[in-house]
Amino acid sequence: MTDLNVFYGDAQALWDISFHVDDREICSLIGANGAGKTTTLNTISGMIRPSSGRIEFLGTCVDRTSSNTIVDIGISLVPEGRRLFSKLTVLENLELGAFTKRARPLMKESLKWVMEIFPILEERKGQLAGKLSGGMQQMLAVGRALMARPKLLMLDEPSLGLAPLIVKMLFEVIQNLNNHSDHNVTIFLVEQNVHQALKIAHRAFVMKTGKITLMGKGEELLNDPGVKKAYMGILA
Amino acid sequence: MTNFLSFQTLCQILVNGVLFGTMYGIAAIGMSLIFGTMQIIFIAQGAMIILAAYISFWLFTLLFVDPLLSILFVVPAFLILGGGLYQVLFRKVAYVGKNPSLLIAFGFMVLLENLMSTLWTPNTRAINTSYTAFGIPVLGLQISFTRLVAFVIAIVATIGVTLFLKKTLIGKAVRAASEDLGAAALMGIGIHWVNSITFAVGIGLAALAGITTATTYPFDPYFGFIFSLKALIAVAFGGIGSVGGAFFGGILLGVIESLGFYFLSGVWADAISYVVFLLVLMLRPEGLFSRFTRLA
Repeated sequence: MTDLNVFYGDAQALWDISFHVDDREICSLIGANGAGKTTTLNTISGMIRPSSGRIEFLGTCVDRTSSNTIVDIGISLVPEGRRLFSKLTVLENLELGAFTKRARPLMKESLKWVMEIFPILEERKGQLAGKLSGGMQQMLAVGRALMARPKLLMLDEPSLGLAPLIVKMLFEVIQNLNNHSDHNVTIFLVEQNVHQALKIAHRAFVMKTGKITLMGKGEELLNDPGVKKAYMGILA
Repeated sequence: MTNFLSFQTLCQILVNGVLFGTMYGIAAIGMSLIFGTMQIIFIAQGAMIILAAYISFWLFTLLFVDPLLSILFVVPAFLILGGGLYQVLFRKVAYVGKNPSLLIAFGFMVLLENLMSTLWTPNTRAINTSYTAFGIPVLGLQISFTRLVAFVIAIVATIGVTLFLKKTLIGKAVRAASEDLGAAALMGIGIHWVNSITFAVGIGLAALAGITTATTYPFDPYFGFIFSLKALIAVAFGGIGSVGGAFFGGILLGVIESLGFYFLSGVWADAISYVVFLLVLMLRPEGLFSRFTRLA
């Protein structure tokens, strides 16, 4: 994977947003409610069409591509609120994750891989997804996205409503996915849990009312007085 | 009116109702499937059923093809027709909202009815095979052979559709899409593709219902609308979006009509089924068997 260039401009929710995510990095996008973080993700995944601007992935233009094709190209989104198929079992949810042409032949391997990452899903595979606890649902949502063998995994607020311990575990998993020698998944993380998001990120952007206001390395932003004040409630 | 009702007569009424109701059942499954992903009531389902009935009628009358044999190629043809119907009529408006789709379905129904009436006259038709009048005595009850065949076909079709939805990846995709279309798209499931599949299966079931109807009952071009209404009642009984529920809803409706027909009269049978329909929607809008089907 070469550079991923994402340009997006002049939609009402987002104003001339330009940024890129490098291959094999963890990139975080942080910002308050309504800043346009979810809109950005939904645009990349093809759920919303940009009125102007360009989105490029591995050198191909994807801003007019439908969302089901985008998954096949290698971009998976773990949507906000997880959006599992609650009336389907855990296993069925995972199987559907590997629906694309590219991922379908690898389904068995992918299942094994995901069950290794989240052993609890193996135990619960016959259970309806809607009956799982919040933490397990989030694991399933991440697992389901991984079944498509993404090169770029985008996560929309994965920590929302979860216990701190589970959040910690989930972020470790995300970090491992990125480091692991076999599957170098590039991560694009959208979070309100600013501290955690910045800690694991190589680079990060801060978004405010549809514009990117700050860019930098994760650690730098973590120590930035403005970020501390605005998003972590610490008076610098 | 009768004051005396023997156990045997009651059994006969119930059996007739069940056999009749399976036809509503398969019509309702098709409607329920299409409702699941498209979120519209495909009101032309009944007209498609009558179209299939006519096709099997003419195949029998002109080419001497046995109606039960014609299932083998009419149903596959309707599967393809269903997929094509979606692509031609509904693809463009699928995102605009439900109203355009609903209007298209309604217009399509009227078109089909008039087309059939022009092509084949509004006369009532029925298929008379060598075995039409054939009855099988079971435990003192008379069971019509064609109705029994229709019953068996309906059960096989219901099991087939259920297995398709539960066991195949495509079927799972259909179920996923009927729960959350947007999330299904994120899995790489093409929305038009999945809608085509449900239409194909729904119309394929209409073919099955049509052919079995043609072997058991007389029909005319406008009978389809009543069929759609009855299927709708069956869907409401079973809980919208549930396959097994739609099938049992159809059977229940058949039994209610059969009882109403016997105790009152044919006119009252219809009225009673609509009253029960309204009562069910008022008192149990989630369907009569909702808990049962949720467990299944």
